[in-house]
Amino acid sequence: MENSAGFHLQCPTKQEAIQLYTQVFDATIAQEIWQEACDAQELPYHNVGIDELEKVFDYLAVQNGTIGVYGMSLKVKILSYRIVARKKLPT
Amino acid sequence: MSENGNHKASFDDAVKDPARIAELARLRLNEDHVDEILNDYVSRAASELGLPISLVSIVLDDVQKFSASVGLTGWLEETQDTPVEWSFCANSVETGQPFVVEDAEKHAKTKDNPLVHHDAIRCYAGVPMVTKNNFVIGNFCVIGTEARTFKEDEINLLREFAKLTVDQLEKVASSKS
Repeated sequence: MENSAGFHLQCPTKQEAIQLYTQVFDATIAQEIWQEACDAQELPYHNVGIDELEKVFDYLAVQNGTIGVYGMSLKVKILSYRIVARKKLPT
Repeated sequence: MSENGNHKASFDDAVKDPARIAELARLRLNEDHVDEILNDYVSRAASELGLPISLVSIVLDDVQKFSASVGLTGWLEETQDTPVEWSFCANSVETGQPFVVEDAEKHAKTKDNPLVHHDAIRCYAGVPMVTKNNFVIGNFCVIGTEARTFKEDEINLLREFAKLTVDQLEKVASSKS
Protein backbone atom coordinates (compact mmCIF):
# COMPACT_ATOMS: atom_id res chain seq x y z
CA MET A 1 0.00 0.00 0.00
CA GLU A 2 1.10 3.58 -0.58
CA ASN A 3 2.76 5.73 2.04
CA SER A 4 0.83 8.60 3.52
CA ALA A 5 2.47 11.75 2.26
CA GLY A 6 5.21 12.99 4.54
CA PHE A 7 4.34 10.71 7.41
CA HIS A 8 5.86 7.55 5.94
CA LEU A 9 2.97 5.65 7.41
CA GLN A 10 1.97 2.36 5.83
CA CYS A 11 -1.34 0.61 6.17
CA PRO A 12 -0.93 -2.55 8.25
CA THR A 13 -1.61 -5.79 6.41
CA LYS A 14 -3.01 -9.22 7.14
CA GLN A 15 0.52 -10.61 6.88
CA GLU A 16 1.82 -8.09 9.42
CA ALA A 17 -0.97 -9.00 11.81
CA ILE A 18 -0.35 -12.72 11.59
CA GLN A 19 3.40 -12.12 11.97
CA LEU A 20 2.75 -10.16 15.17
CA TYR A 21 0.81 -13.02 16.68
CA THR A 22 3.39 -15.53 15.48
CA GLN A 23 5.97 -13.72 17.66
CA VAL A 24 3.96 -14.58 20.76
CA PHE A 25 2.15 -17.75 19.81
CA ASP A 26 3.12 -20.29 17.17
CA ALA A 27 2.26 -19.87 13.52
CA THR A 28 -0.71 -22.22 13.66
CA ILE A 29 -2.29 -20.38 16.57
CA ALA A 30 -1.61 -17.05 14.89
CA GLN A 31 -3.49 -18.27 11.82
CA GLU A 32 -6.31 -19.48 14.05
CA ILE A 33 -6.55 -16.09 15.78
CA TRP A 34 -6.89 -14.42 12.39
CA GLN A 35 -9.43 -17.01 11.22
CA GLU A 36 -11.52 -16.55 14.36
CA ALA A 37 -11.52 -12.77 13.91
CA CYS A 38 -12.57 -13.11 10.26
CA ASP A 39 -15.31 -15.57 11.21
CA ALA A 40 -16.56 -13.28 13.97
CA GLN A 41 -16.83 -10.40 11.53
CA GLU A 42 -18.30 -12.69 8.87
CA LEU A 43 -15.45 -12.00 6.50
CA PRO A 44 -13.58 -14.48 4.32
CA TYR A 45 -10.06 -15.39 5.49
CA HIS A 46 -8.40 -14.04 2.37
CA ASN A 47 -10.37 -10.83 2.12
CA VAL A 48 -7.85 -8.10 2.90
CA GLY A 49 -9.40 -4.88 1.63
CA ILE A 50 -8.82 -1.92 3.92
CA ASP A 51 -12.41 -1.78 5.18
CA GLU A 52 -12.33 -5.48 6.00
CA LEU A 53 -8.96 -5.15 7.69
CA GLU A 54 -10.34 -2.45 9.93
CA LYS A 55 -13.23 -4.69 10.97
CA VAL A 56 -10.89 -7.55 11.80
CA PHE A 57 -8.62 -5.23 13.79
CA ASP A 58 -11.66 -3.84 15.64
CA TYR A 59 -12.46 -7.37 16.77
CA LEU A 60 -8.90 -8.19 17.76
CA ALA A 61 -8.55 -4.92 19.73
CA VAL A 62 -11.27 -5.86 22.20
CA GLN A 63 -9.98 -9.33 22.99
CA ASN A 64 -8.44 -10.10 26.37
CA GLY A 65 -4.72 -10.43 27.00
CA THR A 66 -1.91 -9.92 24.52
CA ILE A 67 -4.25 -10.63 21.60
CA GLY A 68 -6.07 -7.43 22.51
CA VAL A 69 -2.88 -5.38 22.96
CA TYR A 70 -1.59 -6.31 19.50
CA GLY A 71 -5.09 -5.91 18.09
CA MET A 72 -5.31 -2.38 19.47
CA SER A 73 -1.94 -1.56 17.90
CA LEU A 74 -3.19 -2.73 14.53
CA LYS A 75 -6.43 -0.81 14.94
CA VAL A 76 -4.59 2.39 15.88
CA LYS A 77 -2.22 2.05 12.94
CA ILE A 78 -4.98 1.64 10.40
CA LEU A 79 -6.99 4.52 11.89
CA SER A 80 -3.95 6.79 11.80
CA TYR A 81 -3.19 5.75 8.25
CA ARG A 82 -6.72 6.39 7.08
CA ILE A 83 -7.02 9.77 8.78
CA VAL A 84 -3.64 11.01 7.57
CA ALA A 85 -4.44 9.80 4.05
CA ARG A 86 -7.95 11.27 4.10
CA LYS A 87 -6.78 14.67 5.27
CA LYS A 88 -4.03 14.71 2.64
CA LEU A 89 -1.60 16.13 5.18
CA PRO A 90 1.32 17.99 3.59
CA THR A 91 4.63 16.40 2.70
CA MET B 1 25.73 -2.70 13.05
CA SER B 2 25.76 1.10 12.94
CA GLU B 3 25.16 3.22 16.01
CA ASN B 4 21.69 4.02 14.67
CA GLY B 5 21.10 0.33 14.03
CA ASN B 6 22.11 -0.55 17.57
CA HIS B 7 19.84 2.14 18.93
CA LYS B 8 16.91 0.91 16.82
CA ALA B 9 17.44 -2.65 18.09
CA SER B 10 17.63 -1.46 21.70
CA PHE B 11 14.52 0.67 21.25
CA ASP B 12 12.58 -2.17 19.64
CA ASP B 13 13.72 -4.64 22.30
CA ALA B 14 12.41 -2.39 25.05
CA VAL B 15 9.14 -1.37 23.42
CA LYS B 16 8.25 -4.81 22.02
CA ASP B 17 9.43 -6.79 25.08
CA PRO B 18 6.83 -9.60 25.44
CA ALA B 19 6.94 -9.29 29.24
CA ARG B 20 6.08 -5.59 28.98
CA ILE B 21 3.27 -6.40 26.53
CA ALA B 22 1.93 -8.94 29.03
CA GLU B 23 1.98 -6.21 31.69
CA LEU B 24 -0.05 -3.94 29.39
CA ALA B 25 -2.49 -6.82 28.93
CA ARG B 26 -2.67 -7.38 32.71
CA LEU B 27 -3.71 -3.75 33.12
CA ARG B 28 -6.10 -4.07 30.13
CA LEU B 29 -4.58 -0.97 28.61
CA ASN B 30 -5.77 -1.87 25.12
CA GLU B 31 -9.33 -1.13 26.21
CA ASP B 32 -10.97 2.17 25.42
CA HIS B 33 -11.98 3.63 28.73
CA VAL B 34 -12.84 7.20 29.66
CA ASP B 35 -11.43 7.92 33.11
CA GLU B 36 -12.44 11.26 34.61
CA ILE B 37 -9.70 11.00 37.24
CA LEU B 38 -7.00 10.74 34.57
CA ASN B 39 -8.64 13.56 32.62
CA ASP B 40 -8.42 15.67 35.76
CA TYR B 41 -4.70 14.85 36.16
CA VAL B 42 -3.84 15.95 32.62
CA SER B 43 -5.90 19.12 32.96
CA ARG B 44 -4.12 20.01 36.20
CA ALA B 45 -0.68 19.22 34.78
CA ALA B 46 -1.24 21.40 31.72
CA SER B 47 -2.56 24.22 33.87
CA GLU B 48 0.20 24.07 36.47
CA LEU B 49 2.97 24.03 33.86
CA GLY B 50 1.23 26.59 31.66
CA LEU B 51 1.25 24.39 28.57
CA PRO B 52 -1.58 23.62 26.16
CA ILE B 53 -1.28 19.82 25.99
CA SER B 54 -0.94 17.03 28.53
CA LEU B 55 -1.30 13.30 27.93
CA VAL B 56 -1.39 9.92 29.60
CA SER B 57 0.33 8.06 26.79
CA ILE B 58 0.33 4.29 26.86
CA VAL B 59 3.05 2.83 24.65
CA LEU B 60 1.86 -0.44 23.12
CA ASP B 61 4.11 -2.57 20.93
CA ASP B 62 3.80 -0.43 17.83
CA VAL B 63 1.71 2.62 18.71
CA GLN B 64 1.08 5.04 21.54
CA LYS B 65 -2.49 5.38 22.73
CA PHE B 66 -3.70 8.31 24.80
CA SER B 67 -5.70 7.14 27.80
CA ALA B 68 -6.31 10.75 28.78
CA SER B 69 -5.56 14.01 27.04
CA VAL B 70 -6.18 17.72 27.09
CA GLY B 71 -5.40 20.27 24.41
CA LEU B 72 -5.02 18.05 21.35
CA THR B 73 -6.28 19.47 18.08
CA GLY B 74 -6.68 18.29 14.50
CA TRP B 75 -6.10 14.69 13.55
CA LEU B 76 -4.40 13.86 16.86
CA GLU B 77 -7.57 14.82 18.68
CA GLU B 78 -9.50 12.55 16.32
CA THR B 79 -7.26 9.50 16.59
CA GLN B 80 -6.01 9.89 20.20
CA ASP B 81 -2.93 7.92 19.23
CA THR B 82 0.07 7.74 16.91
CA PRO B 83 2.50 5.15 15.56
CA VAL B 84 5.32 4.46 17.99
CA GLU B 85 7.95 5.82 15.60
CA TRP B 86 6.59 9.33 16.25
CA SER B 87 6.24 8.85 19.97
CA PHE B 88 8.34 11.08 22.22
CA CYS B 89 7.08 9.04 25.16
CA ALA B 90 8.51 5.76 23.87
CA ASN B 91 12.01 7.08 24.60
CA SER B 92 11.31 6.59 28.29
CA VAL B 93 10.25 3.00 27.73
CA GLU B 94 13.76 2.39 26.46
CA THR B 95 15.63 4.35 29.13
CA GLY B 96 13.33 4.27 32.16
CA GLN B 97 14.12 7.96 32.59
CA PRO B 98 12.25 11.22 31.96
CA PHE B 99 12.53 12.53 28.42
CA VAL B 100 12.77 16.29 28.11
CA VAL B 101 12.90 18.27 24.88
CA GLU B 102 13.32 22.01 25.18
CA ASP B 103 13.29 22.65 21.43
CA ALA B 104 12.07 19.79 19.29
CA GLU B 105 13.31 21.39 16.09
CA LYS B 106 16.87 21.17 17.41
CA HIS B 107 16.81 17.94 19.42
CA ALA B 108 18.52 15.04 17.62
CA LYS B 109 15.77 12.56 18.48
CA THR B 110 12.84 14.76 17.44
CA LYS B 111 13.92 17.22 14.75
CA ASP B 112 12.73 14.93 11.93
CA ASN B 113 9.52 13.86 13.66
CA PRO B 114 6.37 14.56 11.58
CA LEU B 115 4.59 15.76 14.73
CA VAL B 116 7.16 18.55 15.00
CA HIS B 117 6.82 19.60 11.38
CA HIS B 118 3.09 19.09 10.82
CA ASP B 119 1.62 19.51 14.29
CA ALA B 120 3.86 22.23 15.70
CA ILE B 121 5.08 20.32 18.74
CA ARG B 122 8.04 22.28 20.03
CA CYS B 123 8.66 21.37 23.68
CA TYR B 124 7.99 18.20 25.65
CA ALA B 125 8.53 16.80 29.11
CA GLY B 126 7.45 13.28 29.97
CA VAL B 127 8.14 11.01 32.92
CA PRO B 128 7.76 7.24 32.84
CA MET B 129 4.76 5.53 34.38
CA VAL B 130 6.22 2.52 36.16
CA THR B 131 4.00 -0.34 37.34
CA LYS B 132 4.38 -2.29 40.58
CA ASN B 133 6.10 -5.00 38.51
CA ASN B 134 8.64 -2.41 37.36
CA PHE B 135 7.57 -2.07 33.74
CA VAL B 136 7.39 1.28 31.97
CA ILE B 137 3.97 1.39 30.32
CA GLY B 138 4.24 4.89 28.88
CA ASN B 139 4.66 8.49 29.95
CA PHE B 140 2.73 11.19 31.71
CA CYS B 141 3.69 14.24 29.69
CA VAL B 142 3.14 17.87 28.84
CA ILE B 143 3.65 19.43 25.42
CA GLY B 144 3.91 22.97 24.10
CA THR B 145 4.11 24.72 20.77
CA GLU B 146 6.98 27.02 21.74
CA ALA B 147 10.48 26.19 22.93
CA ARG B 148 10.91 26.36 26.70
CA THR B 149 13.02 24.98 29.53
CA PHE B 150 11.72 22.74 32.31
CA LYS B 151 12.70 23.16 35.96
CA GLU B 152 13.37 20.23 38.27
CA ASP B 153 10.32 20.98 40.38
CA GLU B 154 8.18 20.79 37.22
CA ILE B 155 9.60 17.36 36.40
CA ASN B 156 8.95 16.29 39.98
CA LEU B 157 5.34 17.42 39.64
CA LEU B 158 5.01 15.25 36.54
CA ARG B 159 6.52 12.36 38.53
CA GLU B 160 3.75 12.75 41.10
CA PHE B 161 1.07 12.74 38.40
CA ALA B 162 2.70 9.68 36.78
CA LYS B 163 2.57 7.79 40.08
CA LEU B 164 -1.05 8.78 40.70
CA THR B 165 -1.91 7.69 37.17
CA VAL B 166 -0.36 4.24 37.62
CA ASP B 167 -2.21 3.86 40.92
CA GLN B 168 -5.48 4.69 39.14
CA LEU B 169 -4.76 2.30 36.25
CA GLU B 170 -4.00 -0.50 38.73
CA LYS B 171 -7.20 0.27 40.62
CA VAL B 172 -9.31 0.17 37.44
CA ALA B 173 -7.68 -3.07 36.31
CA SER B 174 -8.33 -4.66 39.71
CA SER B 175 -11.98 -3.68 39.55
CA LYS B 176 -12.35 -5.42 36.18
CA SER B 177 -10.68 -8.69 37.14
